[in-house]
Amino acid sequence: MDSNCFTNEYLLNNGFVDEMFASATQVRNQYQFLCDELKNTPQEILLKKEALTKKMFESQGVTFTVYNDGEGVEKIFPFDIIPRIIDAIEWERIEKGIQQRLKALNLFLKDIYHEQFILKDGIFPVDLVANCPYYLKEMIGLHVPNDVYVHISGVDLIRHSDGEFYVLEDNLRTPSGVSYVLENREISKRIFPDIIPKSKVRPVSNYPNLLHKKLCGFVSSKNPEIVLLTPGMYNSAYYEHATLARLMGISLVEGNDLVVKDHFVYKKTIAGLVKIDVIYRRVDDEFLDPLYFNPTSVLGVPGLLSAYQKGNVVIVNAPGTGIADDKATYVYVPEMIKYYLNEEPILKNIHTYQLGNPEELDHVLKNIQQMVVKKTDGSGGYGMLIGSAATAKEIEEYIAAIKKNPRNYIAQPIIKLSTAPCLINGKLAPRCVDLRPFAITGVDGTTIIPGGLTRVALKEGSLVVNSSQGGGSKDTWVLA
Amino acid sequence: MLSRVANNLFWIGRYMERSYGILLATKISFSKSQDYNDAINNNGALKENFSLKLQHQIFDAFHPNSVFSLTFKARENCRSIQEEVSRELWLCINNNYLFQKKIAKEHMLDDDPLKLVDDLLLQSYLYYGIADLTQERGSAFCFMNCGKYLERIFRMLHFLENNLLSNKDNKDLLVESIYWKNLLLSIGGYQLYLRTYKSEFKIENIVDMLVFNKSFPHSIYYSINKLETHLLRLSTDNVSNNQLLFLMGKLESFVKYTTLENIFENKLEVFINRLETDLLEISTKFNERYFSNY
Repeated sequence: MDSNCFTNEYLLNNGFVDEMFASATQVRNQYQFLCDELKNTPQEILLKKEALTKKMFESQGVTFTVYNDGEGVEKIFPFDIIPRIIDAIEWERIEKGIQQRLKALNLFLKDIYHEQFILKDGIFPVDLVANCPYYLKEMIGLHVPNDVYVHISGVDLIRHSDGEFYVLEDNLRTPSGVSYVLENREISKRIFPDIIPKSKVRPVSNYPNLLHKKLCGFVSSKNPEIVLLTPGMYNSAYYEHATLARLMGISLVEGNDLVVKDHFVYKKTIAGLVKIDVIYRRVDDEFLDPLYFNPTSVLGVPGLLSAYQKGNVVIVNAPGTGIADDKATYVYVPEMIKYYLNEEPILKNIHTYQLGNPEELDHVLKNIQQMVVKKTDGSGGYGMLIGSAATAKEIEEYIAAIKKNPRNYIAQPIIKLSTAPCLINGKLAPRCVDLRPFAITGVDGTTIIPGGLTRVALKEGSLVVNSSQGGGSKDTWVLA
Repeated sequence: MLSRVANNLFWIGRYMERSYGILLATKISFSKSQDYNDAINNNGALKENFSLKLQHQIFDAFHPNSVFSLTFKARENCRSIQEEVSRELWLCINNNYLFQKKIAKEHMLDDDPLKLVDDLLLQSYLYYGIADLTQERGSAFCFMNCGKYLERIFRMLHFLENNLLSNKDNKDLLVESIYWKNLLLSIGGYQLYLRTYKSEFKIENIVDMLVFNKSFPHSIYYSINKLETHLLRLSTDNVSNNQLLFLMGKLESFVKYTTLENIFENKLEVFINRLETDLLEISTKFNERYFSNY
């Protein structure tokens, strides 16, 4: 037989859990079909398939823009062809865990913008609310349709060295990546024909239809007018905005395409103004409405917030959800679940140190070699410090920055992300992965599409999976 | 124009349209077979091997309606009347044929079967574009288009017959939406459907779009109108065309003055049968009128 992609012994990283291999030679059940297929696929065919995927992404226009020194470059999101596979039992747990978490977080948002019981009961510190830039006073006392603040979310999970899934962060503002879930699956269908139905992989392709249905649920009119508001084609996720709009059959609009009149929102069309019922916005709070927020913003719509306050338009996700996925709030989510739902959290948090607290700051500074320090308002893997990988000088500078404003930072012990086999130079090699399932909350509860974005740190030994930091993605198969 | 030439042109139109329909349907049937679902895949029992199916539907030279056979016939038809069509059109059909022959020989199927279907679809689109851009609007153009639209209406009718008549009692929403999505994709109407009706899949909406939509180039009403236009253009010839035009006009009015409610009151089946009967009559008359001397 020709040589295939298997090495004599798959090199498990010491202390890391691997998604496919239980030991160097033993393959986990859910991977069996794929494994057999890979064994029977000569290496050169696999490499050909790999080359084909690059061409397909290019010709489909699946690109994202990376900004460095103010210059944008269009790139293909690196794709590893070996899928990540999750079995039905484990998925059910993830599903329940995320549903529980989102239920609590939505209740938290309602509470924090209304009676604030959680502050009065001393569960959540008042100063976190007072100091949080994402807490919007405009939202105080405002009723949002069906009390849903977070409609769309992408909670990041990782599998720790104990084999359990932990929540790394809740992305509750404008999480992106779902178009890659759809795109990756289409590519998998082509490069592994018949393996998907044989392995009983649950389909993900109806996400846009489901999203549309859920959004329709928030308005009473029979044919609601829904638009997707994008910051424009220079946004790094523009491809996703265009794809979702196309697959939902709705207009993709920019701020300038909308206008507010008498507290109603309209889109400007060749047939005149058309009233909008729901805005799925992919523009951050700060830029939504120059009359209330950033006055220099040209991405938003003047008067949008007042139309929203009058209940004339639904904004998805609601403004002000940033308080709930702030990295400092994260620490309190398990408490929230107990407080609001009287349940034990199904998905655990990673132990997190609040550097605003002098004792914890002291502990972190002493053990900084074993810590990951992040800014509470950062995202995309920018501005974080991985203690074990940083030089002494980097650490020194970072500590100086922390000391200036410790409340802006949190720290977590360095986590051993699970690894999954990737095709590296034609052979399987372990690389660290995380998982971002996408959830949609409607009037009928939260639905999570069976799958998600598995991001992978393609650099050997790297723990950072962000696309802006050299990460890639894998298709994620959830089995029935 | 010679009857033989007219006949050839008419059938070039039909063969090319037919092979386009097969390609599109094949592409979607692949994508469908790769979606796992209990209800669709009957407890995991797999549909037939896609490569084999592809071999049959596309390359089987002994199968009269394989894409290869159809392209071969279109090319033979075109080869013997080269002087009547634009040079570019003849080259396009010829190269399409040569391309398929080469692939069939080299077994390029192994790596990625769908890539091949995509390439062939591209050849189809090329054909439509070249025909539109380079062929003068004379009788040759009309005959090709008569063939094209007649074939397209039959294809749509078969589509309605095969997919919408059977009562589906499966109420699983997910299965339903994937099912309808694939159906609409296989006739190139998914994007328009979403824009018109959003994500709500209803048989009524689908029939409405496939039968009545005035801007959907695959709808029955659109195709009937086009067919009528080309018949009218042909009738400026010396010989009178009255009977054929009468039938055509009658069919056009029938569809135009039928409502969606009418269709479902009298059953979709009755409507489809009526259209099929009328079209066969038109097609027979067309044959008699233009090709009987050949």
